[in-house]
Order: sequence, then C-alpha cells, then structure tokens
Amino acid sequence: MEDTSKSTNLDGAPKPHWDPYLSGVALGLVLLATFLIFGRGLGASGAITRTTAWVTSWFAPTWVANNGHLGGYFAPGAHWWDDWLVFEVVGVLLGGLFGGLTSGRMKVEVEGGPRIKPRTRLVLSVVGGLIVGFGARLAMGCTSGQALTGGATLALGSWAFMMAVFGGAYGLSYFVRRLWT
Amino acid sequence: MHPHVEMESTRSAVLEAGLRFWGWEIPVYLFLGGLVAGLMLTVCAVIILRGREGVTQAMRLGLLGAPVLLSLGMGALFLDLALKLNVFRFYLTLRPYAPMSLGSWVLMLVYPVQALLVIALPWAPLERVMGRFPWLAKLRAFAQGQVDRLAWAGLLAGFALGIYTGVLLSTTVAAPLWSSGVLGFLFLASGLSTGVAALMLVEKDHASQTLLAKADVVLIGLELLLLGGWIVGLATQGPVYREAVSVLISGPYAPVFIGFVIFGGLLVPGALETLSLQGRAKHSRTVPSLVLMGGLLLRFVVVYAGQEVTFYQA
Repeated sequence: MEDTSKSTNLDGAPKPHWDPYLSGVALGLVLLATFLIFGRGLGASGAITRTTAWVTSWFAPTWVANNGHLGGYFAPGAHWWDDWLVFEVVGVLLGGLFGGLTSGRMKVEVEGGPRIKPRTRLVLSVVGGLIVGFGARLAMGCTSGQALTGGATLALGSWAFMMAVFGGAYGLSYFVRRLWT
Repeated sequence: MHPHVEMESTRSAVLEAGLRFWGWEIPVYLFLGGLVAGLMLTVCAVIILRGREGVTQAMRLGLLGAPVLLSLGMGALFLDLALKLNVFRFYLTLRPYAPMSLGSWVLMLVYPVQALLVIALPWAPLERVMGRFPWLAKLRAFAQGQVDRLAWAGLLAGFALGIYTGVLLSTTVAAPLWSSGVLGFLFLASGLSTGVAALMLVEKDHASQTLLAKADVVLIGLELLLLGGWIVGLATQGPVYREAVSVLISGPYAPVFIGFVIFGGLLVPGALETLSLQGRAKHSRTVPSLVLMGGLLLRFVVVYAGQEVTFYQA
C-alpha cells in the first residue's frame, strides 16, 4: 500500500538550513515587529544580567540591592520577568527546540575543529563567553542589543560597536585559527 | 493565630491583613501531589485496559518513584504548618466536609495502594529481595491476586488526590481567583498531563511512547479548555473576580502565565508532540520537560496571583 503520509525522513539526513539572505530578511522583520509591539528592539545580554541579578539576590540580597548596576532591577513590586527580553531569550530557546526537532537536527554534540577536544572547546567557550559578557555590559549591549537594534536605528555608537566586534574577531582569529582547522 | 487553635497553616495569621500567606511550599506540594496522581492514574489505567503485561519498565519506575515524590510534597506541606508538632492530629479525626482533613486521609490511602502495586508487578530487582523476606513473598502473593482491584483503588485514589490539589485552593475562601469549581478539574488534568510527561521522560518502548504522547496531546487540549472555562467563568462573575483575573491576564503575573504556562508549557509541547506523532518532528525528552515546567509554574502562578486580590481587601 502506498504511503500517503506527509512525514519526512527525520532519521536520515537533516533538512537543509534556511537560505541566509531570506533568514536575514526574516530577522529584520522580527526586529521591526519588536519595535512595533514592545517599543524596543532585540537584546540578549540584558536578560542574562537580569537573571544573574535575580539568582544572586537569593544568596546576597543586600549586596544586590546596594549594587549600582544590579540594584535597579529590584524596585518595590518589581519582578525578575518585568522585561520582555527575558521572554525573548526563552522564546529563542523554544524556537531553537522547535526548529531542531522539525528539521532532524536535534542531537547532543560539541561543535569544534577537527583537532580540538570537546573539553578544551567547552573551556574556551566559557572563557570566551565571560569576556563577551563583560564586554557587552561595558558597551551597554551585545550583538543583538547594539549591532542589530542600535544599528537598525542608525545609532553611531552601535555602528562603532559593530565595526569593533568584526575588527576584533578578524584580528584575534589569526591567533586561534588552529583551533578550527 | 488564635490562641485556642492547635492545628493550622501559616496563612491564618495574615489572612485578615490581606498579606501573602502561602509561599513556595504550597505550589510545590500541589505540583508533586498532582504529578503523583497523574502517575497513579496512568499506570492503573494501563493495568485495567491492557493488563499487567502492558505495564512497561518506565511505568514501574514511575510507580516506584511516586511515593518518594509524594513524600517530598508532604515534606513541603509540613514546612508550611505553623505548629509542626501537631501534625499527627490530622489523623485523630476525619471530617468528610473539611478538605484538609479529607485530603490527609487520601494521602494516607495512596501509599499502601502504591506499595502493593509495586510488589504485585513483576520486577527483577524485587525478585532477589523476595527470597530473604518470606513475609514479603506472602504479601506479594496476596497483592498479585488483587491486581485488578488494586488498579481500581489506585484509579480512585489518584483521582481523589489529583482533584484534591485544586479543591484545596477552591475551598480557601480568601481569594476570588480560586473561587471556582473548575480548579479541581484543571489541576486534575494538569496533574495527569505532568504524570504522563514524567513517564515519557523515562519510557524507552516506542509503542508506549506513542501512546503516552497521544494521551498527553489530549490532556493538554483538555487543560487549555479548562483554563479557558476557569478564566471566563470568573471574569463574568463580578468586579472583584474580574480584578483577580486581571492579575493573571494583564497584570504582574500575565507574562509568566501567558508566556511560560500557556505558550511554553502547553502550546509549544502540544504542537511538538502532535508533529512528532505525525512523523514531522523528532521525539525529544525536552518536550515532556516543558510540560513538567508548565505544570509547576501553573501552580506557582495560581497560588501567588490568587493572593494578590482577596475578598478582605475588596
């Protein structure tokens, strides 16, 4: 009997990624929608900072309340989730899960160059993530908040940030190229 | 707290002041109670419909874990009691019309049914213990002869436990958000869904996995309907109820309720499970984890948001 189901062979090769140009246009439309609906653009590091402040407040509430950078999140009656960025980040995770499961790409793996061990890759990722996180707070935004959102409003500082990010990445890549080849 | 009262929850002292009286302990207890009810109902339904051969290793594991989870939940409930040493007084009386009294006895009924079902079902590690304890072998022989009756008792106890977790709130007269008969059925459906999701986390048998996913999709749909009925029912009752509902729909708890409970905890996993059943998405343990997270957050949101607007303040 002929199989008339619409099912795809998810056990075989994963579905191809979306076209990068189309994805770029889609991301631009998402950004536009966030301005229209929430009155502000995309961001990611802000949600991490808010979550960090929230978790830290469980153990050191007085320190967090008195901290100039984190204390502002805890005005009377305020909640950890009083920022749409928290929901955006959770939505990114859910969207990633949805995409991974429907395209046959959901698996546990550590991506890296052929010569690098997973453990080294993870350690370097954490170190890199810490530096990026620190830099993002210094710059008052990350690639989402500064480059995407600020760049879309033609903010000069955001374009300078974007150039610095790409320039810094190209400059550093010469020294770490063996990690990926 | 009134000086002549010997047994009460921490809520009593602050109830009239309109302050928050229940912290994290109650939502955790309600979640674990509902989860255990869901585990019992699912496994007992499988025994009744498919016989004891239909019970998979994962279901046995679920049945074994149920008393542990229930004890953790009761531990959280114990922490909420103002006079902890008086807890034994719950079991010196039975008041059929007092939900806390009735619930205490339902909890006590759940343990022996679970224990007898665990030893009645074939399980390799148990076989080794049997030889050492002859009395256990006798108890097992008795339980094995009563599996069908035990399954029906488990079904009844699971139903009572699941519905009780919601009734406990709806009979607490302080909060308009909880003043709905739908809450018992909502928590029962949610408890069933989380029980099925917990089994999906450990299930390896493909046929059972499909069966559980089908059941969960139906339960998620039912839960969404009950959530709608609960909210619409309250919103059409009067200004105090509308104010209580607005805390959940457009107030401070709306982002978590709509974003994490309805979207992340029901719609997304429901859609992924449906696609997985159609062969258009891979099965993943992350999906039932979302259902469990949604079930836990539902209890937190309902308990916390319910305390924002009380009849005393109104």
